[in-house]
Amino acid sequence: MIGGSISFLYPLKNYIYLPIIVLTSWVSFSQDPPSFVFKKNNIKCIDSAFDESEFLVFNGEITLQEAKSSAPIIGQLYRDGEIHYFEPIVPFAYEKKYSLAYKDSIVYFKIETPKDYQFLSVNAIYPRATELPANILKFHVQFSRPINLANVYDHIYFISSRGIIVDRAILPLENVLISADGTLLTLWIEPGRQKRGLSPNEELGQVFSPGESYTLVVSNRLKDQNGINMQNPFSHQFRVMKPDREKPKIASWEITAPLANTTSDLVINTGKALDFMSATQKVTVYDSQENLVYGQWDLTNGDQQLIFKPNKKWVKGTFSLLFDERLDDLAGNNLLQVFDNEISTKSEQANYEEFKLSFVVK
Amino acid sequence: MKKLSTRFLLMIFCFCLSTVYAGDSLKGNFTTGNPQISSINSMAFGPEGILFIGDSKSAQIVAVDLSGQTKMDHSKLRIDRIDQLLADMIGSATDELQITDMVVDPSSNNIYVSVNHSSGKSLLFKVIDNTLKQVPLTAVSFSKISLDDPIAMGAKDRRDRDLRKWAVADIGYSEGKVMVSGLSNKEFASTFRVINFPFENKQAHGSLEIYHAAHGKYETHAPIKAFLATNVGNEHHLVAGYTCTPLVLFPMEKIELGRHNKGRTVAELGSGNSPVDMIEVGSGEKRFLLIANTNRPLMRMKFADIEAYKQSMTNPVTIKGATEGVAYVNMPFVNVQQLDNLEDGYVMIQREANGNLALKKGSDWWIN
Repeated sequence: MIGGSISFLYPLKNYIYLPIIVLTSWVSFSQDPPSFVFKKNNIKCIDSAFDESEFLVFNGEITLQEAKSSAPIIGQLYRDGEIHYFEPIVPFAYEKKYSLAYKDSIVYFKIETPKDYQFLSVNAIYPRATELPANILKFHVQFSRPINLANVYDHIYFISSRGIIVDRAILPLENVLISADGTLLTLWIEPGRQKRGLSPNEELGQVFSPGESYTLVVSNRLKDQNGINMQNPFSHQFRVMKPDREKPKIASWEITAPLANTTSDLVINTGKALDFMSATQKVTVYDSQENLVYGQWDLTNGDQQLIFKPNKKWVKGTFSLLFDERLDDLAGNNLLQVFDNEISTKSEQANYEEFKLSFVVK
Repeated sequence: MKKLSTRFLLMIFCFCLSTVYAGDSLKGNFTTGNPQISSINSMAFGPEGILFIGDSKSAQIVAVDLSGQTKMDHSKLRIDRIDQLLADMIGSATDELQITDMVVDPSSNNIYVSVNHSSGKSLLFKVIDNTLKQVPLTAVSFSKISLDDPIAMGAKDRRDRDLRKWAVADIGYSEGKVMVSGLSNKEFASTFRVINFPFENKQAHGSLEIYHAAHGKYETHAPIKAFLATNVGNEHHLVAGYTCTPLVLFPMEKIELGRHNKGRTVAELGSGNSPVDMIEVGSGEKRFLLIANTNRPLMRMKFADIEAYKQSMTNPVTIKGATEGVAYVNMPFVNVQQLDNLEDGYVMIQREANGNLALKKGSDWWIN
């Protein structure tokens, strides 16, 4: 009996039966034939005469002859009682073909994609606003599961309303900016083009033109961590407005204080769209004793409304909001300076300033 | 007061730069075990066979002792279709893995290649007889240091930091210092870290905010993509290649922790291009800076020309594709993805015109 939980045998072409028959009949007169169970993380082998020197696993379907000159998959062989295991250095990919060469026989196998597999999709794009400044600096793409980072920039691009791919729009980084859980991808819009006075800007101009509409496309060629493609491409349309070269000014922000003994949201209307990553990580709430108030931040309403939901109920008193000076808007303008700051202006030399607001919970 | 504090910072930094480690060995505080490396994003060798690994995922620099590795003969070095070989050894497809770096141990001339796989696994390989062998990193002699921002760890900033990311762009070692450049997903800033080695319990590293003062009146916080610490005109310099391609010099002794440090732009390497690796080869009149690029051929620049270029470029290049500043020669190697010194020459991973990704030596003819 070969196989078990994995149907490596039946879906494959007829020719693979031959080596399996050879394999099973070869040992039938002397002892039980070896049996294998193929799983994503290992191959289980039951063979009373197991010979690890003859156990090699290969990428793709290859012949025994080809196996002699091919590099085998790196892995670890170990045993648990009478059962021998091969654990590949990375788990076997779904739907990919492999070969097991064992004692002058070869077995082909693949691991089928589970029926309930949750395919990769895009959950959100930040900014969520559909009208963006021409000098926008960052996009963040929230995926449903960890993505394959190799060649990621080949699968994400912008298309103009005329259907032309915008050239050199995204700054390609060798080490992709992805969150620790592998799902939130940060895309820098080519800063050399977005910032005035730099050579790429002078030569090629800004990436986006005011008045135009564009679509951010995530191709379905993008794979997840398991090597499985997205089922459908994703697109997000937005319209480009004039460039924004104004600093966010917290003094004009409107705070709606929550009520005591509730876990109501603290709402801050900023009057201009902020960068999601920046806005949700660069603001802190302190109580009157300067203890940090824990909770979750979100950015809504065209990325202009900061929402804070506390973990515990609010108590009466005066609270303070501390803003990191590098809290920035969609164009990379922060509380200290605009992204296109002129080198000679005073703000370049700005001293530390505390950016603080307060509110009262009644 | 401002002058005083500046002088104080300068003194601290100069002291750090000139400090020679007085311990018995650079590996005195190494321990044996699993350094828990999550990703290998950039690598550099220091002395005594110490490999420095920049691990973005775990926000750490790990120093691994590879001095015990057998020295290999690379007189007939060449590995064709190295991406397919790696895919076969990993059991994967070529588009699911990324060669993140290639480095050579100068003490043994052993060549190492690092790979990140889509599964999240990072692997190190050593070149042996024109093939690859995995070097396990789960039981090694090592020391490591966290790259977490010490300021951000303070009481002022105890927020949920799960989404924060600081990606290592390049790493280098020079005179008792590990230098790391990188980019975060928070802001577009050219943070450059200098860390004492051997790593100390009390962290003695600091961030330098560097920008080049070119491009007319607008400052640039672009991150350093690749760099090299070397002597230029008998002075120790940081030669930095930025993402939007200026090549900038910073005299090391004038760099101040916690300050904006302005560099002198000596060349523009072409827009739409980004440096990948920089190395120094040869000596005297034939001492060259070799720069591998994303969208330009391998460049060869004479150090004598860099030293002779006394001005700083201040105007942007406005002619499409043009380059300015110190002259250089385009070598006949396009799509060089990785580059390092090998003996007196250089080794590269190059995507050749026929699509073959080859690990091979560069011809000495071009540097002699």
